[in-house]
Amino acid sequence: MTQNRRRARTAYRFMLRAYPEDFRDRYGAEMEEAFLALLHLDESRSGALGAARCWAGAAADSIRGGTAARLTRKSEQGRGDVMGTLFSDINYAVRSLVRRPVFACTAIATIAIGIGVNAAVFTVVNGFMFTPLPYEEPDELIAIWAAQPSLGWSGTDVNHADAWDWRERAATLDDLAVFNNAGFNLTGGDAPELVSGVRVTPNFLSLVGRAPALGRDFEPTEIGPGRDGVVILMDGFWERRFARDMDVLGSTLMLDGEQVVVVGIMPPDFLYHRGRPDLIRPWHFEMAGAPRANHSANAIARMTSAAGIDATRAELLDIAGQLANEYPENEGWTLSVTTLQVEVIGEVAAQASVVLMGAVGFILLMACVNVANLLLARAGTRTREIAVRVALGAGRGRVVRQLLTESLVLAMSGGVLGLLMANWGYRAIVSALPPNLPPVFQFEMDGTVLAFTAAITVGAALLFGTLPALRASGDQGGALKDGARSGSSRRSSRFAGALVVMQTAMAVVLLVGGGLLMKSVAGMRSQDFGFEPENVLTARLSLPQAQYASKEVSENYWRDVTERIRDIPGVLSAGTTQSHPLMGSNWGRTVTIAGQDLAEDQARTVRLTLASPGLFEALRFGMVQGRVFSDDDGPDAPQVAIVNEAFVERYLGPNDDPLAQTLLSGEMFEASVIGVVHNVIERGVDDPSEPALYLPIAQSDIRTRSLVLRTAADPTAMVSAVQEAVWAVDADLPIYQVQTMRTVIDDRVGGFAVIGNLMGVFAVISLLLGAVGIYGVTAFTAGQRTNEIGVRLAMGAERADVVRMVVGQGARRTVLGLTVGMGLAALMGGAMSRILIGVSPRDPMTFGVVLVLLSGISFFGLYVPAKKASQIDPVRALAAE
Amino acid sequence: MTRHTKLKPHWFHILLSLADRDLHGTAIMEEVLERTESHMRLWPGKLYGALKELADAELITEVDAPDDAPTEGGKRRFYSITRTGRLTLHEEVERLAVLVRIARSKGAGGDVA
Repeated sequence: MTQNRRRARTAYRFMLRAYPEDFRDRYGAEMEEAFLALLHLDESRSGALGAARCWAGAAADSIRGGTAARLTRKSEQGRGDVMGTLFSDINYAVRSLVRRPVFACTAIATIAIGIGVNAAVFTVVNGFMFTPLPYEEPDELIAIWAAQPSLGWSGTDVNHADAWDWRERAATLDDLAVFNNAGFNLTGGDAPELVSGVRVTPNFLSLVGRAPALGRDFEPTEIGPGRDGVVILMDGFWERRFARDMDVLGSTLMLDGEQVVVVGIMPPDFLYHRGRPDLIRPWHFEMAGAPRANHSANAIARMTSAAGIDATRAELLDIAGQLANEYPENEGWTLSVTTLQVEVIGEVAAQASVVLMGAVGFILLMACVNVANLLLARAGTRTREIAVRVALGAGRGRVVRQLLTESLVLAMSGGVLGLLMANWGYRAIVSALPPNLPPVFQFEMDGTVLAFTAAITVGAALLFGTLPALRASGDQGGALKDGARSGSSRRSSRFAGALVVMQTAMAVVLLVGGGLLMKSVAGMRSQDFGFEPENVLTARLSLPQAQYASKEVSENYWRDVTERIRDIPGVLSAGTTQSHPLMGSNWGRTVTIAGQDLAEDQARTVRLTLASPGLFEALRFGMVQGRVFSDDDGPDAPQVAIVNEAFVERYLGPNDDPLAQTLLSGEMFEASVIGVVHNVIERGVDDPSEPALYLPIAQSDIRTRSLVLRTAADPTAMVSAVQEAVWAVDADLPIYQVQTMRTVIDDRVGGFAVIGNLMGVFAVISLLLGAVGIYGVTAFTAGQRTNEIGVRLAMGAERADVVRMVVGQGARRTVLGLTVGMGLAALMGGAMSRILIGVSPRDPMTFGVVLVLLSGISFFGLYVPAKKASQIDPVRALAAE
Repeated sequence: MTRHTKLKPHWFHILLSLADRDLHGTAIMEEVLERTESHMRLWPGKLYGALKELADAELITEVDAPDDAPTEGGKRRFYSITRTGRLTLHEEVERLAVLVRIARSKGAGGDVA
């Protein structure tokens, strides 16, 4: 038996404790075998995620099954008695809480905050992590990406021909499809429209296990030039554009000036995992013949049901190795494989889920600590009531059970209120999520969320109720004597003190976490992007093949449009590119540098951007040396290139003159380097700079471009003038994705901003809970020492001495709490490294501010009750004694 | 006569698994998972809770393990469907068949135009 299996068995055996002993004795061993069989199945199908789901399911099963088995057993043993006691306990608990409404409301509100934030965040995390993909047998689906380990690149677009070879050679794959999002100009109706589409290999839909609701899927032969004239519409597009007209099926649409036949319409519940397309079309070229240096597609595959992800990965890596030996362009390229689920969730969401659940877990703990403190304080006032019950014959177990039932009633009231708050809270979080999320996530308060909330409610009740109940029920010896100050109250003070230390530590962790994340988000927005994002407008345009068949016609179009835009008053400069920064383009090329021995230092891989004259000026790229592209770098001029600083640092020697280099890429180009530009953040706000290559866009044949212009004032005021300029050249061309560069950046930062803002809110809640906790404990301990303080004052102590004494004792706890908290926060910073951009996890500024803030709050939490304690009248205090 | 109250779906599937042979718990779980293409997953607690209830209701009974049964992980309990269980299963199948007939007579369940 492997060690993992042994561990799993031990952990599951622990879960089985939910069942009554006789049930466990009878079925336990077989249940372990059944669980291990399920775990093995899930693990082999979908790796760690499958295992996590299996554990979550088994935990829910144990709680449900265990409760059912225990209830059945109780009812068999004498239902009336047990249920009767339970109801009487609940009845007594409710009456006792109603008698102290302020205590009850404070405790319930505190728990509601703790449970509410947990339920809200868990609803969102549950939506991200556990919504199954809307495809058949989603656990068998994997995403494959190209990777260039020598550059630290992973998650790069794949090459079409490579992908087709993986499909041919891998025995662990049932099938593989290549796809990419694409835009098409739809003309011929009332108004031209840019529709969003997906180019796919014809097997795409059958691979994901979905089929059109009407019409048919693509035929295997429907791919490549002249054979791709078919389209399948999405249900939403069919409704929006054609009002569900059945005659559309079999009719012809004009897409990019080509006639394509509608062969199918997808069902309404079909969701695509990479966006919200209007239609699906086959690729316009064959996979096998595609040039190998071009990496610009996505690949998805279905594993055979017998193959696990590890075996599939191993085989695909092996095939990538074969291809690297067979084709020079593949040198240095390998691949990475993840389950499609993990790929869709993404690394940041996964880590953010852990961090946020950790944060709300801490908030719940802090809320529990506060309620435990309240219960301890209240236990002091109930000592006599409990002692009377014990004197009347109630056993300690009976008293503990009664007190725990009260805690449970408190927790459940708080839980219900918390759920109501969460129902509002999760909607607020979801509405703040970035709009470019894949549509496959479903956020709702489903059974899993309710089960989770129920579990944490019971857990919270046990957490805040157990120790106060044990304390209150024990040591009743002197309680009935007047004035007895038993050892139990001193222990209660110590216990409450320990809780404050814990609470202070947790507040430090949450405040540091919140502070670091907010600083990180602010840093992302204001970082050096390598260009100036203010006053820049971007828009996308796509030229249809039919009207713009030749390179010359389309080049004339772009020149004409750019000139008209430059003539608009208020426009400072304008240019075009296939992909503006932060658009998410993943274009890569493998190049060689003339005169360098390739074998000496392997492949030179670069991010590729095509740029027109004016683009560098519009974005204000900083030139290090050389010149930018000009109108002289036309289609027939000598080929030229601009590289960035990362390229020079990585690929050229210290004595090499960048401007003396010539770059080659197979038969695609041979270009002289004419300039070096500062590094520009191209892919994501959180990605480091990579070697980049810029080529004149006029020397390529790219039909879909971004128009980028810099304006003197607010760029949004220019939108209609830009539209007019575009339509003055061709009124049939839609202009789309019109955005300012600032909006592009905000969209990219969006996900991080949500995490940062949430952590900020949690930090404020933790500060409030912490302050209340410190105040409560200080007031409680000072209250317990009323007669000691009275004696001191009567003996001539100054009131300031009393304040100093009470504050001094509390300050020791605060210092301990701050120290422990700083240590924990430093550990947590490491776990957050993936979502902290441009901020050190141990940022001294953040730690310093938190230290000062919490020290200040703690001082007030100590000083106010200490001052109050010092105001007591010594005569009264002693008389009460 | 046809039953009008339906059997719990997981009871139905357990009885169905035992219709043609005696099986132990894990084998029932695996058979149901495969037969329903993973749509019905009998978690251990649900499975053994149901087996206990079915045995209490005398729809199934524990039997000795076959001599050739593997004993890896300890000897497993085997279950066999009783005559009452078989009758109950038969009634449930009839009930479902009637439902399907009614649905089909109303044009539901065929090809969706």
